[in-house]
Amino acid sequence: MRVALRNITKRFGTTLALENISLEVGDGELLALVGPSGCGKTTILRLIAGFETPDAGDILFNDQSVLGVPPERRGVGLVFQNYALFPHMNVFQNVAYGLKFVTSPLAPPLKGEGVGGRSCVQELLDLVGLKGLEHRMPAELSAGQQQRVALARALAPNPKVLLLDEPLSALDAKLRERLRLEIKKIQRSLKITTLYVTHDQEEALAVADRVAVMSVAHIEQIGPPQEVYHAPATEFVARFIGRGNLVTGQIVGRDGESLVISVGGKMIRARSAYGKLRQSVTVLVRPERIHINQPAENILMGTIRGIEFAGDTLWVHVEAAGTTLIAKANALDTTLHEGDIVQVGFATSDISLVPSDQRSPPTPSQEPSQR
Amino acid sequence: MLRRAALVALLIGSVLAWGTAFSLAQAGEGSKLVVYVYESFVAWGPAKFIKTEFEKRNPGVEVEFVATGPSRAMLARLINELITGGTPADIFMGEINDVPRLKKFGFLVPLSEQEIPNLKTVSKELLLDPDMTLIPYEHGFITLVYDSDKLKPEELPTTFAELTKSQYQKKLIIQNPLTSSVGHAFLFWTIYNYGDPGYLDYWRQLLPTILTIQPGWSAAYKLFTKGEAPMVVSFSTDACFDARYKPLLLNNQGYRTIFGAGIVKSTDNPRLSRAFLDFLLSAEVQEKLPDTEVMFPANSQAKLPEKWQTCAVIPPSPVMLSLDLVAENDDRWLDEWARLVVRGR
Amino acid sequence: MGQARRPGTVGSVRPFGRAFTLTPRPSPLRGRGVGGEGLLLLFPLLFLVIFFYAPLAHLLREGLTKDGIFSLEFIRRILTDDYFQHVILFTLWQAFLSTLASIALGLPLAYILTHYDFPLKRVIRALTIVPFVLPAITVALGFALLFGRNGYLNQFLMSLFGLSEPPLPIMYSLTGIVLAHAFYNAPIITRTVHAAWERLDPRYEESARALGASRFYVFKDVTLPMILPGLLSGAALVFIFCFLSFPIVLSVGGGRFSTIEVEVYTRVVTRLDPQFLNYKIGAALALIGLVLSLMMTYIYLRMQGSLARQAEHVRPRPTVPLFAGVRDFLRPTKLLLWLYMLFSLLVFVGPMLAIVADSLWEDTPTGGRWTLRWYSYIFTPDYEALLGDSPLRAILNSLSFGLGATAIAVPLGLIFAYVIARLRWGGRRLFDTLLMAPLATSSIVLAFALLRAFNAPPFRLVGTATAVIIAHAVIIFPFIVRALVPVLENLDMKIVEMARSLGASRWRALREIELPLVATGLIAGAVFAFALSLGEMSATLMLARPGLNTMPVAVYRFLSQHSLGAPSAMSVVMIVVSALAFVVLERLGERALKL
Ligand SMILES: Nc1ncnc2c1ncn2[C@@H]1O[C@H](COP(=O)(O)OP(=O)(O)O)[C@@H](O)[C@H]1O
Ligand SMILES: [Mg+2]
Repeated sequence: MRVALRNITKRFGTTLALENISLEVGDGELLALVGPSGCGKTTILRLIAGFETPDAGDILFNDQSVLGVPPERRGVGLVFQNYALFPHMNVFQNVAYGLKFVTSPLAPPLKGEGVGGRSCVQELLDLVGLKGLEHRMPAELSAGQQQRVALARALAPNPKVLLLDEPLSALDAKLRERLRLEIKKIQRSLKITTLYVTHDQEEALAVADRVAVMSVAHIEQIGPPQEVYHAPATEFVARFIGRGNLVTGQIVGRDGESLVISVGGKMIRARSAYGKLRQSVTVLVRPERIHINQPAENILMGTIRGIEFAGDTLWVHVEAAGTTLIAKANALDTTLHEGDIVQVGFATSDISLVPSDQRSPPTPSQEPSQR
Repeated sequence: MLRRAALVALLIGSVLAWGTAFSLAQAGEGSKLVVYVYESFVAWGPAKFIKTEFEKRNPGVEVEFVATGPSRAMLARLINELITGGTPADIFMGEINDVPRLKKFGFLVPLSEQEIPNLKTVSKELLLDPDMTLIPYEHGFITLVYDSDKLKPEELPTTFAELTKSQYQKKLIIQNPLTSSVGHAFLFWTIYNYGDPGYLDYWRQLLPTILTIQPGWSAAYKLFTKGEAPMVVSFSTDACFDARYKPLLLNNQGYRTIFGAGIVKSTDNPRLSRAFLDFLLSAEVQEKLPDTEVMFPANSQAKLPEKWQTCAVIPPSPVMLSLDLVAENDDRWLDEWARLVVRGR
Repeated sequence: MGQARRPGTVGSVRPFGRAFTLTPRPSPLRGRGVGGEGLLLLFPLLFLVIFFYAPLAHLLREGLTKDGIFSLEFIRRILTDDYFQHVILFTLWQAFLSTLASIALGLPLAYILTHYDFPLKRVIRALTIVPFVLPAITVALGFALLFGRNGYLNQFLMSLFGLSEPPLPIMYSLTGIVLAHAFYNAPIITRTVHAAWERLDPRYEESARALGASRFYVFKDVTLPMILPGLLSGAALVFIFCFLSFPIVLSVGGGRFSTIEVEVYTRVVTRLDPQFLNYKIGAALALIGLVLSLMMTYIYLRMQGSLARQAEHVRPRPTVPLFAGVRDFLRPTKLLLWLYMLFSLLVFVGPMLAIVADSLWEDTPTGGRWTLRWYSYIFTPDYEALLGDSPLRAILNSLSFGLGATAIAVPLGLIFAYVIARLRWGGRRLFDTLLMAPLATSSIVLAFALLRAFNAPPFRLVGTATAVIIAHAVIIFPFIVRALVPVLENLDMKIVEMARSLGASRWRALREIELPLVATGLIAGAVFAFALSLGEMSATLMLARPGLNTMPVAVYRFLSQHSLGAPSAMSVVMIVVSALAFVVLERLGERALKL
């Protein structure tokens, strides 16, 4: 099932929750919707599920508009952040609930293998790793178990689309990491079209086929995780996704394939086809691309202002070119100390340019003049 | 904020409440005459006249009518007070059928003509209590009353027997003998005519005629005037109030109902109480009763209003069960009646 | 003739200053023992024992003694008599049917209040309590005018279909009793369910719909079980009120039905005998009635306890406009809704409109005409019927007794609710049940018990406003308890602990955290309690002397004389005054609690 949003606008009173949003999720694809709290992610899910109606635009399932279709007939599976497990039903009853309403022989319960509801529920509980807990009440489950029940419940009626609204945000970090892998595995095995909402960019990158990054009421960028990480389309995306060093500079010249950019009075080179002389740009360098005291195409001198220990990694804060850069270093490196003067270096190809201006893409340059 | 709100509520509440209580406490206790009476006596008006006139005649005296229910409810209140901390009541006014009961409770003072001079004006036929504990001050006749717009004279039943005919199905509203003295009198009337236990058979036949049994006269009469049924059990004098509603005498009878007043033994104002009873029987008060209570005065010398010559009907044969018979059987009758009406057997 | 007593959650948060002492403070109310704060209980308990339990026990003892010694003779006599068996079963049966009818009538209204937005919603919500205060006689009259043989409805149907006999025999039947009880009590269901529904996280219902459940199944499988505690809470109150109903059974039932309360009244009032035998039977009957309704209460409390669950903090449920264009107006579900509203208008508003019409109508020899004379009649200052009590005085009395009683009942109910909800001790459900006794006691027996209590030293208060106010407070406080216990029990203690960790004393945490969180319940309970006081008649009449008459007493007074439109006019005055009082009281409450 392909799901598409076409030019969707949604208002709540005076709040503009979504403005002219378009989005497409391919058949069997897992799209992660990531953005800060309050940007409208839940609203998108609720629109797809049918709990809200858009003020403008259309929602299509396999090119068919579903705007007039009530939620119970859209065939979507839904998992809320708080799981909303029916507190008066046990695990089995919760999972079996949706099977009551599967009436069409054309839409048999999950996989079509389950003969009747019971074996299907058992299968699902196996799948989510809750075998033997059928008779527990939701209040008697741990948060992680509740999450699994919620997932099993949503999957039971064999939905065509799975909508997950911050499914893991109530769990601790370790569990989150484990469960997101499991969710991904299950999603792959069922080949179910999935929209996965999260405010955790790391989770989004880890789990998704493609990631859609939202700012308030808008989608900033949609693309595979690598693209979103390495080539953010906007400054917003660059800041939101991953840890990164964003510094502003000015294009002062072009040197063959590279642009020459002045950052805090120091010149650095970045590989880019575009760029106009004297244009102000934002430069993104990921911490893992910064090397300390090693030869590189771009070298800046700086002072170590702080070192964070993170197990296998050291996060080194270096003051250079009038700003603070974060570099990732090997934890085994014992040569670095606070106050040391060091060289920070990075390759021309490891620098991305992000237009400082919010939503306009980098303008193709007229022939930039030599310095 | 919360505290202030609660405080304000408390303040308003208590100021209003104490204000009310205070204005009551102002009246002095000693010269107060407290009269327990059924509520209609106050509602219909004579109480106001009596209070004003009696207070005028006895300066410094205050008359307080406590009328918080029908006759028997007032009696029950009085008794409950007497068996706990005592009662403020000096005078009790109620129905004569309760006299034997009242005597057994033994809290009313026997009276005589010496003490109440006006007693000699009372028609002898009303003086049913030899000890004079409850002195009659008014009387009337329970009859049926019909709506002359709904029933033509030739359609009317003339006997109790005719009343049970199918043409009168659901045409009659009565009062519950368990809660209303009018309904009580109607029950006695059927017993007078059909005897004990014959009355139960009669009631069995009567039930289809009855549209509804209302808890009190007022509610019954209101439904009657709103056209729910064309006949109601009421008083032979009703036409004096509205000529459209005329009395209907069954078996040429009317069941006599008498109301009397007596003095409570525990009174601290025996002299004033006697004066009150005497005043109650004076022509001045008695002549007010037809217009206010729509009842006949007990004082045979009291003049009736002009129009009563025509509108007030005195049945050719007034009937009444003896008080002793009532005293002996009343509780059983009520019990049997209730079982019949509620269970249909 | 007394009216049956009519049925049946405050603060602003200021940031905690730094001025708290750091000395550790024991928290007795959380633990097992009842320490210093337990003393807080002493005063209200004493109050109840003196003004309620002791007098009641004293009176009911009559039903358990013969010749001064303990005897079950009267109980046995009642339980072996097939008439009384019939009466007891009928009492239970009609209360059961009436509760069902109240749910049927009240539930859709709760749905409308929870899900839709419409003009004057808050006012209308406040007005739903009005039926609750009306004297039985007014309701009986309104029903007769509307549903009687000659009533508007039958007249209309007869002329519509050319019938010669009235087609709807609603009055003077069990149907009439049940409908009239629903008229009185559906508002309780509406209010309690509305409160529970509003707190229900809509995501439960959305999950179910996404799983394929239609609206009907969502309601049946998810919504209903989750609002059940609220529904049960309302239903239990309704059951108790209908169980004790008395003037409605007599007048709307047309005298062919008898309930325990009717029997109690006739035994202790009209059939009072010098040997006090009937009195003893009446006391025994009242005792049986009390035990039966307390048993029902206990069962309900157990059920509710097992259903109670932590309420989560959710964003307010979305509401949609009730009126959203012509096409929406004609949707099948909306049509169903309109149909229901038509029916509920007929049952709720119809009888009141009939009373209004009656108050403006005067019969004349040539038919009749519209008139305002009944209003000028009741407001004639020296009108004789009330003798010292003008209707204005009655209005003032009603409002002051109501406010005074509510002012006592709120702290009383709050303390008890708190103790029940927060203390973990074995007997709490039983204690809770016993606190409901004032609602579950025969009103006439309660009135006599109070008369006896206030007629003996040291509290010789009969005939004073104080007596009436205390009596009303005792009668109405269980409403506050009932409204608060479920809410307090569901309140997450973590919030309170959080406040205390921030340095708030136990008292401040209560006042600034817990109270505001239970505010809706408290206000609803207080308004209902106030309404109960406005409508109370049995005890008022028993304790009153001239000058203390209230609005319902005035209605009765006007009815017991020949001025035909006056009782209706007084009823209308009462409807208007109480409606205004409810709206103002709710607003003030909400303002005070910054809702
Ligand atoms: N039912 C509603 N009524 C009013 N405003 C709402 C409603 N639902 C969402 N909003 C507003 O719409 C915006 C987007 O909300 P939401 O989609 O829940 O954000 P997210 O899930 O990304 O945190 C927020 O400003 C929120 O306050
Ligand atoms: Mg969200």
